[in-house]
Amino acid sequence: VAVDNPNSAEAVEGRDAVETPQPPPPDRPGAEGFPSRAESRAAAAAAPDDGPRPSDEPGDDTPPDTSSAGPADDDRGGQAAADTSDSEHDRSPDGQEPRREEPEGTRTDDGGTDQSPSSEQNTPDAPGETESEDLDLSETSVPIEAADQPDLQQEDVRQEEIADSARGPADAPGEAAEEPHPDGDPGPETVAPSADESADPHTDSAQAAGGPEAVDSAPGQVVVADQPYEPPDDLHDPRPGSHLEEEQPVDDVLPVAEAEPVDESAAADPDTIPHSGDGSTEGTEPTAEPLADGIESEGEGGTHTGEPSGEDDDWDFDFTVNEKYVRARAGLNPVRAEDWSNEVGDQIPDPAERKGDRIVNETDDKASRRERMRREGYKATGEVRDGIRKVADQSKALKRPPTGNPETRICPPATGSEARAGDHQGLDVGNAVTAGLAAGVLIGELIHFVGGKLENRKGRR
Amino acid sequence: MAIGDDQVATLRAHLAGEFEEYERRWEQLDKEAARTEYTALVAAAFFEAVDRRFAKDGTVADVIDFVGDVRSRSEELSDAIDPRIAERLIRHALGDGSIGDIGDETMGSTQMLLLVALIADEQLDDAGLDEFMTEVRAVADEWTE
Repeated sequence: VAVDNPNSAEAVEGRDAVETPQPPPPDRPGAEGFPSRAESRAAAAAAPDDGPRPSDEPGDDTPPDTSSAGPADDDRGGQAAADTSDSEHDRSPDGQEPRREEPEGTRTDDGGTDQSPSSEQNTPDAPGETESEDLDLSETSVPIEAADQPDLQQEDVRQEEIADSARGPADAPGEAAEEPHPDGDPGPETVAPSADESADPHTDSAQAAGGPEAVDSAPGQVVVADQPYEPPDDLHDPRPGSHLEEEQPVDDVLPVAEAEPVDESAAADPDTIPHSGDGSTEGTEPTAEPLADGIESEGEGGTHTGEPSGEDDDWDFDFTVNEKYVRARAGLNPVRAEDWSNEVGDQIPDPAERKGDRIVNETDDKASRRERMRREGYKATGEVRDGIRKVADQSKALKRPPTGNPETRICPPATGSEARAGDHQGLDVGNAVTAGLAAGVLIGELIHFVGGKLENRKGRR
Repeated sequence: MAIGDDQVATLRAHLAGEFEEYERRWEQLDKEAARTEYTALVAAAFFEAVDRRFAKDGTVADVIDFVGDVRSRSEELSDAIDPRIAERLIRHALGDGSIGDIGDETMGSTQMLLLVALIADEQLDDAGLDEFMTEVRAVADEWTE
């Protein structure tokens, strides 16, 4: 029921949210009903005996894929599949944990003892949802390799063919999964795991690693493994309904590939390859390098898309402003230099006017200069005389003050007769009042004292 | 014609800043004689003063700075002195350039103002000023012969 029900994944998700399955401790793989890694691998090895299970392949890797495929809101199905796979792994083959047997018993009906992690992913619904989500991710990363890596694509296609041959027609469910993957970018990463899916030893290792990188490498596996082969020449799938028609060009994809690995560019990130598993790395390494190279070559190609190298020489028109040529290029035409050489500072007016040069020529003696002055600088005319006379008043301003310290004041010497008496301060009223009061007090005390003495003498008598 | 003592005394009074003495002596001068002799004496004094100031290691920058300094001393001087003409006159005295296109009155007034400024900056005492006038007189005598 859960297999055919597309909503089963959500149900499983809700159940897992309640149960919060714990991953097996690394030191105790088989404790608390968790299958050990060896057991999981053994179950995975036994899985191919059930027949070709192309849809299982995404299921194995779907959990990490969907978890990293995109935002949480968009990834409900993928998340459910991930949870499902987790629950699958949590189930031990021998059923040591009865608490988990109830929901899983429905799933194991088809396979009976099929407790392999991939058995759960035979459900076409959950993988279909995850694949559709993953397909969008792969679409964004398609142009990166597809634009400039035809060779890579050829290689990817070949790998996809191998994967398809091993898969069989069971991939039918899921439109998104049906879509061809022309780019082949995720192909290399996904094909290898898909081919080795039956004996997938890296699934547990990747999950055991639990790292986000391992999860990120999965989306490509899910999508490409289910993609039927499509001729690589058509990089942009023209078929209606294909998501590839809406693909963004390289401009949108290139920064995505360089973004966080959690995003959809995880498949294009070479760093995720080692985490994808032992078997997958062999198939992905050859393609991972061209992938990175493809991105670089994309950037290189972008630099050449501006203008052809020989285009500069083919321009036949001239840039002029007011019938003067504009300096449009570094290469200057000396013939036309006068057309635009009206800039300030192009010519040094006169070497003799350069600042810092000595004016007097060594060869010019004073006599020669004097004679030259007589001939040109001396004119016995009335105008010269008037000019000399006219500026007499103005020349007064040229009279410099006498030398000396400007801060020194010259004061007339003081004589005895001119000596001035010091200032005498006048009587202050307040001080006078104070003095009067003090004097009155003293006088009063004196009178009182004297009066007391007189009385004492009278009393003795 | 030799330069007269009255003319030398008049110019000396002017250069010494004794303007009352200068005015008094100027009124006593023969204006026709002053047209030839006094102008020669002023031109010779200007040449000697420029030679003392800039002939050794004077540069164009020094000339420009000097003219600017003189013009900055008062607004009347700034209006009376054309910096371009002043610089050309100084450089001409140093053997550079030509002053043929400068008017006579402008040349006479500018030479007089620059001369007073140069002597004022020299801060000559009486002996130094007398020595200077002696040299200038000799040059002027040569020019007026």
